[in-house]
Amino acid sequence: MLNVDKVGMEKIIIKSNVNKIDNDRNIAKILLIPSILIILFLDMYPIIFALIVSFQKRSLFDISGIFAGIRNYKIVFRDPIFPTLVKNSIIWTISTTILEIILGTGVALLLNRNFKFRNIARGLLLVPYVVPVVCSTLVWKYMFNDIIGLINYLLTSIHIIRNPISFLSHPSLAMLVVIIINVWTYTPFVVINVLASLQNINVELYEAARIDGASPWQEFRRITIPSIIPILVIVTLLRTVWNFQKFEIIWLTTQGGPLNATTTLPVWVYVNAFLRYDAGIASSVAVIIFIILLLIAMLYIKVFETTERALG
Amino acid sequence: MNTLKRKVIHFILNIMTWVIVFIVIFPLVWMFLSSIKQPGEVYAYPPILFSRRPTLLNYIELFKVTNFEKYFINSIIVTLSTVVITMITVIITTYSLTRFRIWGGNVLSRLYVIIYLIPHIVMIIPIFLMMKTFHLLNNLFSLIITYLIFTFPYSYLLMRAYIGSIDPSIEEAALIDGASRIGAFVKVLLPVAVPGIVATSIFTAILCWNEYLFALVLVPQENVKTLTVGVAGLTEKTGIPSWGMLMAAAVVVVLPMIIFFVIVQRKIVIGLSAGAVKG
Repeated sequence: MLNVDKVGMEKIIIKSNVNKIDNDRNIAKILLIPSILIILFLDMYPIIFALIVSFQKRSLFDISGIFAGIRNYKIVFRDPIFPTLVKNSIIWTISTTILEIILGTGVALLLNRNFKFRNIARGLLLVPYVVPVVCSTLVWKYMFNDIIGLINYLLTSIHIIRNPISFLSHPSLAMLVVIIINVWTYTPFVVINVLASLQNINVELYEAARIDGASPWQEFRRITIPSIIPILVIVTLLRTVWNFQKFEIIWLTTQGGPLNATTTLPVWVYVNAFLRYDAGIASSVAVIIFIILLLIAMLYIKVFETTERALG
Repeated sequence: MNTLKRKVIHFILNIMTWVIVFIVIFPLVWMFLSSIKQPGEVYAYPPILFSRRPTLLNYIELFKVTNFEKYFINSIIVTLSTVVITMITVIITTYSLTRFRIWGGNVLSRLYVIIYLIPHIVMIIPIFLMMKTFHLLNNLFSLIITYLIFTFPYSYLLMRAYIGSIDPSIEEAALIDGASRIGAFVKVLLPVAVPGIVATSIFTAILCWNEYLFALVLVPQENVKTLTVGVAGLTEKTGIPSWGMLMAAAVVVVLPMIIFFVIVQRKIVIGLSAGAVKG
């Protein structure tokens, strides 16, 4: 009904003034100019620029670079630290993403029930997402402090550890700390998406299942899980992409240390560009990151299409 | 029997929920409680939860000893300018792409969403070199321009949902009544879209306020530093950091965000889930 009306009205407008429509189209095109400029100068150009610089021998303060072929890439790949960077990046990305997805889904399921003050609980659980990383890393560092830290106090008082641990100067514990901070900050993103998806499930499905005598477990497995799988796939993709490129949390907590134990590929870009002033090498690491992200994205889109097809 | 079992399970799940809420929110509570402690209490071991004599000493010291005020003003300038520029650009873009059928419109729309995924760490070197060429380093203007990289696609995603959900027939009615396109847009559509515009502005402001990497690289000079970089730099400058003062700084930075969060609480689903929507 409504559509017919709309079409009817459009016809009236078209009949009434053809010139006006042409004019309107032009307005539409003019309105797009600023956004196209943003895309061209703030997205396309920088990416191409980064690609060019990655093939140049160039310091951060050079006005132009010298073409150097694949020299930078060779240096990056041959650097004995490279395997460590890849290993750290993989540990960092996979563990943060998996923890965020599992915890986020769990919390979303808890929040999807009816209980008193549910909105307050939901609000409080989402707050970390808006806390600036600078603030969260500060307070976590204070809590993980080896001398006066609250966490050391709690762990020693319940006898899990005997003496306070210096978390940030121990390689694998430092990685654990940055992972915890990341998970604390970004799990709300998973919660909110899964929760939205849970609330979109048709209640009649559950009613029908109950009439058929399904157990709560069966309901969960046959209705709830299949309904949230599409959003879980998208959210996993986004979290993987964002966690992989995340720089701030690590930099503000450990600066990649101790002994490069938390140096991931993005941290390596920063170190090369802004501590060693080598724009060429840093750009080649950046391009490697970009290519890895493209591959991850393509892989997930493939997986997503397959699961969507499988679910009908 | 069965209902009793259900009740017990429900009760346990409720307790679990509130325990999780407590753990999640605790760092922020701890941040605040530590910021109002006496200097000695901050370093007490075993740690003290509540101060015996709460004090604003840390806050006073923060504004006295550091350039905190300057950072604060810089952050406000950058955030406000970016939000205004972003919103104007996004509103006209969304209007154009949702109300007209132009050649390539759908492709553009998708492109505008996808660019949100471009990693900042890949952009940082070319952007630095570009800003250096234009002599815009240590100039807040460079940050305002650069922030468009992520605020534009993010706000576009949100505004497309808002403006797209407004029925075009109200503008068409105005057009039939003889209003011009621009007139219908400004007088009919914009007033209806105000709630969406406000919410999107707030979400965009949160992104700008919290940004660290670009601010660190593009405006490192003391007088143009923004809050995030300024606060992160406090530890380096004061040597041995005074945790009380650092926590006070963190509270001042986080407070506007918490206020924003409360304002947009109801729209939080659409704001935080942006990006997960299919492009």
